[in-house]
Amino acid sequence: MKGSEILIKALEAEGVDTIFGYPGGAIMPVYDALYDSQLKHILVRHEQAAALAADAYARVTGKVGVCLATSGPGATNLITGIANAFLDSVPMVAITGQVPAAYIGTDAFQEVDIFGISMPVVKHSFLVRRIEDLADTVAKAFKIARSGRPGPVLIDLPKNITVADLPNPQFNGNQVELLSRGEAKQLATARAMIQEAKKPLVYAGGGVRIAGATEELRAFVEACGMPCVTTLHGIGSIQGDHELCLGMLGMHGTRAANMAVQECDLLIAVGARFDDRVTGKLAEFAPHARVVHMDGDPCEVSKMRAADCGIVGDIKVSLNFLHAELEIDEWVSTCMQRKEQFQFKYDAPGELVYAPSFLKELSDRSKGEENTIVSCDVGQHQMWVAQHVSFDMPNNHLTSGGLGTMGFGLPAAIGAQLASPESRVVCVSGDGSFMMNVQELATIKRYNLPIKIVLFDNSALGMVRQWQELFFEKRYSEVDLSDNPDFAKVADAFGIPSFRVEKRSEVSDAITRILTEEGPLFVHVIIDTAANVWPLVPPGKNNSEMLEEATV
Amino acid sequence: MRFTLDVTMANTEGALERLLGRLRQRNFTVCGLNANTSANFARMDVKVTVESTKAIELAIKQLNKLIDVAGVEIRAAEEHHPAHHQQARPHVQHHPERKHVTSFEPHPSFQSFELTTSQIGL
Repeated sequence: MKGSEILIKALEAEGVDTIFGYPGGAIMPVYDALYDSQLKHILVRHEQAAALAADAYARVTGKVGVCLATSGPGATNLITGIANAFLDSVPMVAITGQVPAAYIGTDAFQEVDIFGISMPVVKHSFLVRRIEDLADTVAKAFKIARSGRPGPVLIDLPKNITVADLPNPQFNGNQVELLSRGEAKQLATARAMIQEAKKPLVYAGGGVRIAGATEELRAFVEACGMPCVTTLHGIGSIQGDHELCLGMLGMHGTRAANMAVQECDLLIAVGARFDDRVTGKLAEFAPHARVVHMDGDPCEVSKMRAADCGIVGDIKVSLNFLHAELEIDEWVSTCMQRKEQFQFKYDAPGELVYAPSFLKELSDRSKGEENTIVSCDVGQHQMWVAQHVSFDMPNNHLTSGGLGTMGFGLPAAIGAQLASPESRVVCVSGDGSFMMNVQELATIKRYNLPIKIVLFDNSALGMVRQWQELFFEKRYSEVDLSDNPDFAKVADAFGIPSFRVEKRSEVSDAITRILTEEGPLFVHVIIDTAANVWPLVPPGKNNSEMLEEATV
Repeated sequence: MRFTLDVTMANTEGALERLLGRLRQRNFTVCGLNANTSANFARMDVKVTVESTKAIELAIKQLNKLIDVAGVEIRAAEEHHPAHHQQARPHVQHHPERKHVTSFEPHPSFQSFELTTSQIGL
């Protein structure tokens, strides 16, 4: 059997059915084998999109995403997508062609040391030196990618391996190595701390989704009757409209969430990592709280904030040991009052479309039978999605949290739609981010994916513009995008129906079209350049120092 | 603080690079290194001296997370002079004895090498 065929068989043995890629010289033998294979290969138009689509595919299915590229520039183009998966702990196997082993180290055509280049952003990597190792390497790569804290694994595959022959290759399917629950002693300590607390608070992160612990988190929160805040990736782990959910915390978090964190006496971090966008000034974050930190990765416990009780292990199991009956009515009602008092307002003056209102209406009207997945890019619109769209499940919210990859939205929507063909997939983007992977409109057209794209166009790099306004004395440096192309025409040119929304009065009809039309649709929404994301914790400040529009 | 760690790891492609890269990226400066592969190349025993303001437990946890690493132990701990803390280059020049912080130990192995800060041109 040829090496390329062994690769395909090994992928099939791991349950792979869809891969994202782009052909080229050193990977050609694999594409030759794909020609006869049952694997569904999605041709993207830039390798970065292959990695980002595979990332989203993995987030939605819970399986390992697979992307494929050739050596040299094909491989380097994958890097941003691999790094995105690394920082958001997404299981992925990236396969790169490489020049034949005899040419490695000779600066051959399209030779680059992708094994070395990728090292800091992969969980592990392999350079296959012998065809005998190929099947086993693929099995190992999948096992590593999905076990423990998931992450991307790179397999660099020299061309001489894929063209070589090996009689009777062996395929050994691999099992996932499961995490065990936290130690009994730590769990008992945590339970005692929960029982002693007067103002306990759950701080749920992306680890909840990764551990598949959504049900367990909700059961824990409800059993204890304690309020819960979420990180960007924790959104949806507890339902957005759950009465105990105070919303997102951190830089663009809700006032109710941030105030609860600053006042609580016990903070129970569940699959969260005290990221700088969450904590603001770390030394003043949750200043009165003892910390219980539950995570699958021992490196996260006490990395940023010393934990009074660290519980390393499978949070899906550990959470069940922490249920307690608490008498914290006063604390809960304080939190609830604030939640009521500081609700988002949607009464912004003016005729132009107010993006938060648009998203709120889209969110409200998309509740129903059909599952809705929203992917977004990076910037102001990303924060508006986090603030104003209500999610019932965390894997319905696809956002680039750790790396903050502009250009994530469109390929992520592609990965999501292929992962869940029955879902409604909406890509919310901005005029800056959209241009970073605009070529993927061709992929949407090619596979006729019914993705709805909502482009909020403020003719600026909005988030940078906002920071320049607030923190750089309105010195607007290189953020003006008023010479944007006519995006609706761009979509038309790719064969994707489009229309433009300029006034508030047109929003309702636009949303009806998004919710009812078959096939892909592009909605170009013009918004005010001056619109900012509120509230905002300024850099270096603690989370109680939130700026609101009126205070600036 | 300065710590010397004993790391036992599988000698896979890139294993030593991964170890050094991880230490660097997590803000642990390598000031001495001795690495030996076992006779059959399968294992590598690394003695690495690092300096950092970070708690050494962070380095140990990070190294343990590497797929190749089988075990990490602290062999020695040493207080350093705070004045030289942030400047890796000058303190080597001013304290030549530090070049020998990892003494060479003959190892009954197929391959053996030692790098000190002087040998790699610092």
